[in-house]
Amino acid sequence: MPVQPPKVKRQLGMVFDMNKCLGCQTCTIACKTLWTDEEGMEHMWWNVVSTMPGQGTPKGWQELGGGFAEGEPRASRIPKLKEYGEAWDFNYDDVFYGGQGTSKHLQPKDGDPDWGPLWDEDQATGDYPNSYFFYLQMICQHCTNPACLAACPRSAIYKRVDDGVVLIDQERCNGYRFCAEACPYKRIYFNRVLKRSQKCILCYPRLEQGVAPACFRQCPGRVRFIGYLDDEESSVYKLVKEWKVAIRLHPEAGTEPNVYYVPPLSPPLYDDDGEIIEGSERIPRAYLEKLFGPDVNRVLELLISEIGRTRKGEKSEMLDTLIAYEWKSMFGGFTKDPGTLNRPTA
Amino acid sequence: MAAETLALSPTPILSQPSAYVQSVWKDRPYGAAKELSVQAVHNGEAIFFRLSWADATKDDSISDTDAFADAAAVLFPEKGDAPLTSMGSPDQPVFAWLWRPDLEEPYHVKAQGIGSSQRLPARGVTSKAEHSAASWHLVLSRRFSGKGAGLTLAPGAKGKVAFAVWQGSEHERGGLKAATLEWQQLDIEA
Repeated sequence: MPVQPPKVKRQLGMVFDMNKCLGCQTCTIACKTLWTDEEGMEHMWWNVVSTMPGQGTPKGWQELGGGFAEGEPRASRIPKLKEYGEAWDFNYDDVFYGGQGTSKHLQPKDGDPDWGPLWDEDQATGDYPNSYFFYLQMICQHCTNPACLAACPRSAIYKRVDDGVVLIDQERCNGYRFCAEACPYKRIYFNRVLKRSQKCILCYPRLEQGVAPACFRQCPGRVRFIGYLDDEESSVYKLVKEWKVAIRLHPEAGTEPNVYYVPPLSPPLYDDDGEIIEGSERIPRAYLEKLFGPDVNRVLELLISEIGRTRKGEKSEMLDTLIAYEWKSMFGGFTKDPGTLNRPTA
Repeated sequence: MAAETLALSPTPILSQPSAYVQSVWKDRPYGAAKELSVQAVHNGEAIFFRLSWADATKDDSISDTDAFADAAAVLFPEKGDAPLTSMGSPDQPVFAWLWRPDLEEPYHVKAQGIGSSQRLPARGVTSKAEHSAASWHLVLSRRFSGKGAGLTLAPGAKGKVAFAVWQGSEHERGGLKAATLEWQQLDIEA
């Protein structure tokens, strides 16, 4: 029987403009220091920015299945710690304190690793001068029909009725990891110390106080938009619902994510004489179709035509919204200063 | 008391309370343990269950993000004939002692229907286990005087008991297990 999605009153939407991302990982570190800096969480990157084309995080997640096919759950498997990327233990004692600073170099204690977090960062595809890569920003997709929720035999995963944030109830979680197996985006991590599954919580304690999630607020590139999808004043509404210039990642996985992406534009190709081939694109459309489905073509044509209009001196509200001249316009009302947050003291 | 050998079967796929598990595990084997040897004794102060079952792989820790520990459980109805395959019902709770080699002490679990189980604070259940000759040998015990959250075990009591075994190497966890599909009679000598 096809899985029925849980009902919510309102849903938050998120838009990531891939064309503005610098790959600086400020979002990643903002999240790491805020939520996942305790024992058992070393391998957790609730937010991560992967270089594409690439293996992503965890390694090869796009080939692992999960989600739904025609409404029925699709098989998958839980990634291994190595595929998430271990936090290596380095030989600091030898090098810095053991008097071997000139004979030993700093290296992981467990030998030469062949994979780790962001192992293939900034590694381009194709041959110079036509090589290319772009950044893919990943958090929990806070899906409308979460595969994790449908997979949990204990009803430990729920979608908040007032904003659609998907959470794992840490009191009910028994650490069975069917959620980590079923999530097609592989955004769920297992804490081996607490023996429970954990993931991005969209900084809900900040949202409840009118403050944007840390990865949104800290982004120096103004990549990330957030707002209610039914709030016609929000940038998210305009980008997703009105102009339809932001689309879902792997829509074929059937979970209806609420993170939307403005797909990456390409620089042109050079011919053998070093001349620009007019109208050419370095990132193959077929690759982008694999990520975003065939609708990516419509969006790219739309962006190219809007850019063309502004080059003729016309105005584009769409591009102005994406540029985000005023940062507060990006956050759908979640614009309070993080300094105003009530923080638990313990 | 002589050891009794009980047949174990995989729990029915349709009783799994998850669309993912029902769909993905219907063609995937689980419930690997085929039988369980059980002995029960008491010394007037405490009751002891000795469980032995074949398991070639010793999974005594969660060694990776995709690894699972072996486990075993002894299940009791609070009273009478609580439904077993549904793990009790709202009116008829069942209680389990859940042993896992990666835990310091067994969990005490209460369930009132599939997917409802709650881990309660430890209630004086102790365990000792050894893996040898490709088998687990486990002794679970509790003092008669221990109050077991609605579960009464005392000399002279008559009741029911059921057993389950999980093999970590087969990714068995939650409802994916081998169990006695019917209650066994438990008569505690006076």
